[in-house]
Amino acid sequence: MKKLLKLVVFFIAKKLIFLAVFLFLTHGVAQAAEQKEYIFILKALSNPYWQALRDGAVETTEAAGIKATILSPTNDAAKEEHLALCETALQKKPAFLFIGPATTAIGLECMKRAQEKGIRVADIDATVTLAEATDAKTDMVFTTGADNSAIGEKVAEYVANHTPDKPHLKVLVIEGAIGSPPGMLRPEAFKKKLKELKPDTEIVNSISGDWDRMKGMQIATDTLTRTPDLDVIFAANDMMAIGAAEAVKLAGKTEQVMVIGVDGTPDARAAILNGTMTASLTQLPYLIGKRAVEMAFETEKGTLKNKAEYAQMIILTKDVLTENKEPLLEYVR
Amino acid sequence: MFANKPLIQCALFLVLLCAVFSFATPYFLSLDNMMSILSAGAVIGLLAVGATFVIAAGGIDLSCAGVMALASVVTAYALKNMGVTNPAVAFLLAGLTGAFIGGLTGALINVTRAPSFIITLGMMSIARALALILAGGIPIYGLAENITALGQGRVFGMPAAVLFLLGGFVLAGYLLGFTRFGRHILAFGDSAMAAHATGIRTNLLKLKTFALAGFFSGIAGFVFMARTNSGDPSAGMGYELMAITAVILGGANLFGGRAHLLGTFMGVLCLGVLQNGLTLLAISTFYQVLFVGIVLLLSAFLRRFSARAS
Repeated sequence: MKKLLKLVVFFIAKKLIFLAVFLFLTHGVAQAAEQKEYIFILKALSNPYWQALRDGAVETTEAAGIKATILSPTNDAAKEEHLALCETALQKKPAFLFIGPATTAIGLECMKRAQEKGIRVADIDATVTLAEATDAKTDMVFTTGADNSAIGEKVAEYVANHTPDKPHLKVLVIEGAIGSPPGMLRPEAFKKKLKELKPDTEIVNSISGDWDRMKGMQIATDTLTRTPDLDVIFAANDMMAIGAAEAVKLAGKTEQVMVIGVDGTPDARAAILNGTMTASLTQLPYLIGKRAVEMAFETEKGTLKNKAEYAQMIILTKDVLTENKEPLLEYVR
Repeated sequence: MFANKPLIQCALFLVLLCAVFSFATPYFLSLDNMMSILSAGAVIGLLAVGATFVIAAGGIDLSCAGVMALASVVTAYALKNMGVTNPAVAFLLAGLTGAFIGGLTGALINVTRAPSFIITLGMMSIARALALILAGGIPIYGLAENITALGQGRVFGMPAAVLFLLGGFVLAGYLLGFTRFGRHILAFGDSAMAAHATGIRTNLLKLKTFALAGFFSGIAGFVFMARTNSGDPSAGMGYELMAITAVILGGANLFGGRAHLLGTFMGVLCLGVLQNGLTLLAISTFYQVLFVGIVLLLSAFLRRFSARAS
């Protein structure tokens, strides 16, 4: 019985392999698809920011009758995978390639390779600046996305405007993953601007929370133990801010501590509405995706005016969300 | 019977994958795309070469990706800030950085008599941290063209990164398959006691094995650096597990004594083809991760089946 089973399995396996070899040998001359295609290389698709950007990009592309293909790395942190994705995407010779590169270096390398093949590339995560592209002699069609330094500055202005009677602020800053540009640039710009606006501000700690909710919570808990009279927590993304807000709530200090995050994710909006979080700055990723595709259309028509266009931003607070008067709220997803 | 040879199994599996993708997408079967698969696999491939030696000797190396990041940062730092311009010097520097950390790992394993899993887990953090400290947390970017050409340029139509990959495999294949050193590694992996009893100096052997694995991780760091034009302290996070996956797919025994560089090479290709094919088909990343898992389980199942059949 066992022997019979073995024979049958081997027989099927052999057939399959012959079929496979046959297909492999005969299929080399298949025709490429004719439809015009835009390819988007994004970062972690498990992040609501990239999901919203994807939706904006795909809907706008498909509305114009163009095929939209989304690629993203399995492991965001490995970085090299972004380059491999770029090279693979170029095999398909898309009409336009959009990339949110892991680093400036990866972005520029992707652009160089695309240039060799005559394919247009744009940066959709404001990672490569026009000056950097020019320096590297690469042809970046345009760059759009959220300016990380502007995010930090805008939050600092919000904090300063909402604490007029407190000259001596005690602030905790939760940075993103070490080595990631938004994780470092946002907190840096925030601290610099806040020091300018309120010179007596004390940054009690500025530490990486690895974009992680649990870590955000842990850092906030520890800091509240050491600095019970903390005034403000700024986290470089909503994930960490929500964690920090939970810690503040557990310590019974929701009224005392302002918690602000970045991204305006659905979770954060719920936390703002129920009062655990104070505010979240959103870069309107849906709009970024939409605008990126529109800029590609403009490039093809030759009407693109500005090669660098940074995202509009709004700060979501309970008032903004409940009053619903802000026109850009339409793009909050 | 063919089924009891892990090497042939792996080859058949690879052919099957290629056939499926050639059928499914017209972009897959082109020379350009094959080269792109190989270049993308160069870094993981070189890490897998090092991992093959360690696994053949019955150990496990979790530090390889960290060592690779450190080597890329050290080399990029030397190129940018210390006036090094010669590519051969840079190449050696990367390899020696890796070999030094690898040798240190081997020495620590000998001194503590702790499992390699623990020591390399520690070295993984240390190497990563040293890279972060040296680079200040951000990638060192913008290298001279004579360096980047080694990762991006072509030699006789073949991407330079692929030449490093092939060169690494040929050298390693020779070392493991045709030298006394290689036979000692396999014997030690099979039975440490027996190897010791036959007069093999096992401590020295472990030291050499880890130094060699470190050397290949260092070379992987060099290729990473030349390919991405940057020394990046957070390069290749998670690549250590990909490298181990490739070695296992290639038919090595995780407990030592059996490993084959050709198998590892095909394991690397399996992973590369899978990723490339699924990307060309624009299949969501979430499923790509799923497929890698399924492929690994499938290979375990096949091996069990063939072991029983024989």
